[in-house]
Parts: sequence; structure tokens; C-alpha cells
Amino acid sequence: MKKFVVFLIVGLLASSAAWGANSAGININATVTSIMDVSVDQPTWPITVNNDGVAIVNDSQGVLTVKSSKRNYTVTFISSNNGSLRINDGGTETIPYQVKVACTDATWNGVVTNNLSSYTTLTTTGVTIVFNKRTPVAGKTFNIGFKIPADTAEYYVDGTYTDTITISIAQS
Amino acid sequence: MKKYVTLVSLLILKSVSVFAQQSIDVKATVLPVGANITLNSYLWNIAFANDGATPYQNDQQGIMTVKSGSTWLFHVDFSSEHLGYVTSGSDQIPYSVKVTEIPSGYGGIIFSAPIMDDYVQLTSTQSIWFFGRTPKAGIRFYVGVKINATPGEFYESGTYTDTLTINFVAF
Repeated sequence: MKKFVVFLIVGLLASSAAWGANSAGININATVTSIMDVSVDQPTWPITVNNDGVAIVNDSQGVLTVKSSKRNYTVTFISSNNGSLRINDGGTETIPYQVKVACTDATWNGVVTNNLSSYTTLTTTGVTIVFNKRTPVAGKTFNIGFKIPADTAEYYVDGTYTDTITISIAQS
Repeated sequence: MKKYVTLVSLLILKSVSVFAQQSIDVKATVLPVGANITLNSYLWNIAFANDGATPYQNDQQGIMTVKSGSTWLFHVDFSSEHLGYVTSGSDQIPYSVKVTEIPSGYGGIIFSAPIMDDYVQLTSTQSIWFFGRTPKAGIRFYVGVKINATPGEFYESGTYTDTLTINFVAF
């Protein structure tokens, strides 16, 4: 008798469930904003060259902050004068310089390739740092080093020299 | 002769109307009201700030209407294709859903679910149980959605998707 009752109830449930099924589907599309930004602590680097032929080196001339919500991206450094400071009087005198970039957090492993890990002459086409990891929201900071190599052969022509370094970030 | 024939015909017709009976059995079968779940929108577009601090929360992301002619038990189930995550390739972001009844005087909800108390990630199916038919206009619920920010961290930017399925099962 018990078996009969169980079978009957199961049968009722199965038959009634069949007519009462219906469903609706909602497609959820979430667009997560892209954040890609580079900034520097100082837009101008005043540098004094005392013309004694000794190299000028400052491993933390500036600080670069990189922010990215994309995993794969590239930061590019471009020099307007192909890695040289050019005299402002319209002449052709130049002073070559080099740049180095190092993450202030030595434990961070988001850099795949750093073509500026040692002092390197910038170009007009750009020298890159390639990343494969998102930064924290606050970003990751990098010391930018600046160097004018020693030149004991001759004096630089006195005057004011300038160059513009453009730093950009783009998804890889 | 013509008059005679006509008279006979009338007599026959009259006799039929007096002695014949005919009954009609009216049998109305009320078909069960098909389970009916509708939403005011089947596509939810969400813009997430991704600033590591601001969550996305909309308690009235959608309005769900449930209609049922069942006088017995039925339940409405909520499930997620990706178990409570919106996904983009291998990246995923957890999201939560909340269901809030819009007051109507309907007292047929017999077993609520956590999803009616607070935002819940749909890692498994959430069911709301009902007993008795709904008003003809149905009963309505707000369906809310929430995405929390991860403090100090970005999510991988891009477009993420999931399908939220609402099933109606009547007994």
C-alpha cells in the first residue's frame, strides 16, 4: 500500500509540472571602464651643466606614475630631438643625454620588457616598456633617471638647451 | 387540395414543437493559465566605473511580473549561466541579484529566499515558493543588480556578459 501511494504522488507531480514551465532570460552586459594613464611629478626638469666634463647623473630626476586597467600595454618614451638637448639660440649645438626607468617597487612583476632598464638614448620613434599586468588603482611609480655622459674632450657651448620627452601609454 | 396540404403541414410542425425536447450540456473547461513571467527589459546594460571604489548598484534594474492561474504550489527559480559572474574571456567579475516584491496585497509567497532579503551571488539556484494563483494582472517584483568594487584594484576593462535565467515551475 505504501508503494502505491508514493507512485501516485510522484505521478501527479510529474504530470502537473509539465504544463507549468516557463522561463525568461536576461542578458547582462557590463561595460567596465578602461583606465590608462601616465603622469609625471614635474613637467620641467631644470638641470645645471657646470661644463667641467664630469657626467651628470640623477637616478630619480623625475617620477612617472602608470595606471592601467588593461593587462597588456606599452609605455613609450619619445624624444623630440632624438635623445639630445638642443641649444635654444637656433644653432646646431647639442648635448646628448640618456634616460633610465626603474619601478620603485622592486617586487612588482608587471614589466615584461624594459628597454630603459639602463641608461639609454631616446629616439624620435620611441623606446618602449612592455607590461603584462594591471596596476593598482593608485598606479605604479617609476623613477626616471637622467644622465649626461662625461665629455672631457671639449666644452659645451654655453647657453640654454632643451628637449621634450613625450611619454604615452597604449594597449598592446 | 393546396389548402389541405398546407394545413397538414402546419399541424405536423406544431406537434413537433410541443413534444420534442432538446437539452444542451454546457461544459466549460478553464484552461490553466500558462506560467507567465515577463520583464520590462531583457537586456541590462551596466556601466561600471572601475575606479576601485565605486560599486554599481541598481535596486530597480528590471521589473518582473509573475502570473499564474495555478491554485496549487509553484516556484520561481533564479539561476546564472556563469554562476553569478559576468565574464569576458577568462576574466570574470562577481555580481549579485536582489528581488523585492512590489506591494500588492498578494499573500501567496510561502517560502522566501535569501535573494529577497539581500543581494546574493547566484552561485546556485534561488527559489521563491508560492501557493495559489496570482491576480490577473500578476504580481510584480523589482530585480536589482550589484557589482562591488575591489578596493584599490582595477578589473580588466572590457565588456562582460552573463545570462540570468528565471524559471517558473508549477505543480
